[in-house]
Amino acid sequence: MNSNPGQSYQQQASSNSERHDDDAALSEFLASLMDYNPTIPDELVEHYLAKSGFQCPDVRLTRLVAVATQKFIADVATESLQHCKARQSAVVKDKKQPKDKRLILTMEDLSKALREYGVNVKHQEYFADSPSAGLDPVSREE
Amino acid sequence: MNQGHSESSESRFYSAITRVSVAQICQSVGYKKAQNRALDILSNIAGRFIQAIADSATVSANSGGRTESNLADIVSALEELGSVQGFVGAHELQGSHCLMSSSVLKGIMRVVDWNEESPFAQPIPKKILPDVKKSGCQTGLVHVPRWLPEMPEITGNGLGLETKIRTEVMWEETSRKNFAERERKLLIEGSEKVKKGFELPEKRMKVKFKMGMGMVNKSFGMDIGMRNSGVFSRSGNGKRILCQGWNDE
Repeated sequence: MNSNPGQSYQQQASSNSERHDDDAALSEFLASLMDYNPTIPDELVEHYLAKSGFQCPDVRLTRLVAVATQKFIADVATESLQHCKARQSAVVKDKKQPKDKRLILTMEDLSKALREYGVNVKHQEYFADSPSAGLDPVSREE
Repeated sequence: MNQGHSESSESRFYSAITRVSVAQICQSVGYKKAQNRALDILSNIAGRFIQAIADSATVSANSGGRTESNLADIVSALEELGSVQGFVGAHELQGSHCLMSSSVLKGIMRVVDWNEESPFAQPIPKKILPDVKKSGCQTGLVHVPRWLPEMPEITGNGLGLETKIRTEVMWEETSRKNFAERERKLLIEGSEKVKKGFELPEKRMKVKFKMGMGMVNKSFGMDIGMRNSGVFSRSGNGKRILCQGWNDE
């Protein structure tokens, strides 16, 4: 197949050394996971993993899943925060509210952000307390 | 979405923890407040995300002939989930590729390297599991898998079942016994003649019931049967039930 055995050997050697570097970086990364405390606790991740039949004794992989989930949630939250800020900057600016109170995670922003991640959130326009809530007062009295 | 009341306390506990940790993440992103329902939805999605990773990783481990998932399985699961949004290098995924070149993994590494860690506020009590190490290897039974719970201790000579005192009574025996007792109660003298088993006695005593306003007792067998009669009455002039029994012999 290959006409130049020396070249192929060289390629192999370089790919081997690359692989070696990658392995070292991977194991270094996994070792750093041992020191990293994700916001989502290990016990929680283990609970969900066990629910789906996931079997792995390695704590580092549990941490990896935790960090991945944390990243996902943080991405969604950042996205909806951008929506929130964009919406508020578009609104009339003379209404001066304290900045802290305006940053609220709302359904509107969240559903917009989640749509980009493939999650369609549909929510009711309103909640009815009782079956008779929507009826007109005359029929309710009856 | 909506957590019903039928859920176990354990899953409610974990969904509460998810809620808190998701709220913590939102806070770290920059939010100050959150709507309850938005937080519910986001924490529900967090749970589903972990389960989706686990499902996908388990499937890819199983298709590889393994029971335990490894790093490659998780990375491929993450890539699968990230494919909705798309990521760098998604076009050249077919075949075996190096894990380090995965941009999804690189993104996670960046999070670990650069993000300030904000651990969960409270320590969570560890779930108490049965000691797995004791089973299998320690009992000396090599064929018993490690994940099985501890073997029950065999007491005595190992013939516990047979030496147990037999307390159960077969149905035939109980029915026969009860029948005999009932007959003994029913029959007065002469009950010796009753044949054993399920055969009825040749002659049975007459039993007469009379119901109604018992003030006037016109029963003709009254004089004779008074001794054997049982009269049940309710306070004065209520209903009266008269039971008379007398022997023909």
